[in-house]
Amino acid sequence: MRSVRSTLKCYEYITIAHKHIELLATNDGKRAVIRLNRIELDTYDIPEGSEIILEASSRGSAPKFCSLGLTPNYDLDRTLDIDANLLQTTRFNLTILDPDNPIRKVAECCYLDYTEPTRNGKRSILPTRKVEDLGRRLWRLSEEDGFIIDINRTIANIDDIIGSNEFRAIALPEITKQIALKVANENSDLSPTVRQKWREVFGAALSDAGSDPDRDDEEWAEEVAERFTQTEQFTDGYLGARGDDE
Amino acid sequence: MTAHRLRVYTDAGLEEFTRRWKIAKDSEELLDVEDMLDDERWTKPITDEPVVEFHEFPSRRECAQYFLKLLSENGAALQAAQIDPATSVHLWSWLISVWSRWLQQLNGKQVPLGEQARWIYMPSNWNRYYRHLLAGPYLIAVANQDKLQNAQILLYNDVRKPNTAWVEQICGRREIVTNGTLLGALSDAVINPRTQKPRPGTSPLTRGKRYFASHGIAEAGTIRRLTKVHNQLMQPWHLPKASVEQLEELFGTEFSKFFGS
Repeated sequence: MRSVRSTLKCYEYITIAHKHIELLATNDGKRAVIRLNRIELDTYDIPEGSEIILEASSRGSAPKFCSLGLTPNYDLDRTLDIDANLLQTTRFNLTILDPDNPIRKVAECCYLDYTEPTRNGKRSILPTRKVEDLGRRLWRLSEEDGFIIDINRTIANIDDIIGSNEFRAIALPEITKQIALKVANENSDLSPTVRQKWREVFGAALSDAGSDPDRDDEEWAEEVAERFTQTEQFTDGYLGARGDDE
Repeated sequence: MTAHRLRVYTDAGLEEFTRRWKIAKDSEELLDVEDMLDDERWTKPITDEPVVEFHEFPSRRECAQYFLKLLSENGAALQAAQIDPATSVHLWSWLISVWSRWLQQLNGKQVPLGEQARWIYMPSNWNRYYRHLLAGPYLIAVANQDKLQNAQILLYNDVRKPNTAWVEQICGRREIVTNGTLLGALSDAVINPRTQKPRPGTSPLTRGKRYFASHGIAEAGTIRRLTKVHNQLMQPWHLPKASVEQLEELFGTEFSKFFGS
């Protein structure tokens, strides 16, 4: 019998970057068909014969799994079929299992965002990924072809925490401010495409915050975050649950 | 007993229901919403026929089965109205209104309303969504409809007394509620097959941190510890695919009471 302590050491699996995976959803209004449109594993050290599993899970329902077969001959045409109503609230994970122990993960990519063909293949502008180098912090804003929220996978119950109204209310305004600061700083190395994309996302919040050329970036970012928090209702769920929304 | 067409509250109806709930909560009076049930000012019909009929549920299991059947049989009508039972606050607020009088009485005494999440479904709150008196059992049943007995550890108790230590510790972890193998092992270990209730002697497994602190001993082998270790194990292991034997090996001897050893 193996002790629990020894199993807890098995943290050495690979985190696959979101940029190496693209998930596609075809939605006819009733059913949504999910397929992996692209997966690039060349840069990762994945043992041959590892099983690739796509998982879709939504609140209250048993998760659905789809095996894409074994590396390197996996089949991208295999699909997951889910209720279209659940598409917006479903989480997608990709897991790759050890050929020598088919319940042990060797690689994973969490919280995959799906794209829909009707939206010209655009991905979510602010994806999340689970990482292990955050110490005791819950999250961190990173840049990698755009902004990504890194989530601390070593914190117990982190899925519940980041899915909560409390996290949304407390973290998203600050995340918005950090993004606005980067967008405001013309000297930062943010790519022009990403900068423009975020200007479009901020939209009304940006114009409400004004465009004074002598502005203080810190104050301006604060104002954008404040406006954006209102328009995106970051705190409404939390306040509503407390009964403070009257 | 009057049967009702399946309905949902409109936005105005939900607002009125919430207003009355808050007044009842603050005043410790009975929540009275029966006049709203079929009122077109507050509700919108989903079915043409009366399909919802109040009856008492002997336990959360019968409650879960009832709503699983009701919402599944009327799935097409709900879908046409774009109502998703997994997320609709308007639906569950109306349904709980039908059962509201019964839910506030137990053994001839008034049951306090308790926290808001028991009455107003909070689908986006991962720590509270399962606490809704009616949606909570339903969601457990949806996730385990292939073998509901797997979830008996979460469904044996009274609908009006939902917060057992088992429910509180397990339901906050979606990955356990939806892992039929693990949940089935827990139910087998804890539930007496004859009574369908926890076996005598299993209550120490629900002890909390305070007990161990006051006795100066390390917490071990409890359901609370099991959920914590599960959170760790699910990082490197794909637990939905694990057999009972594999789970037993992964969790180790500390949790042997949950795996029949």
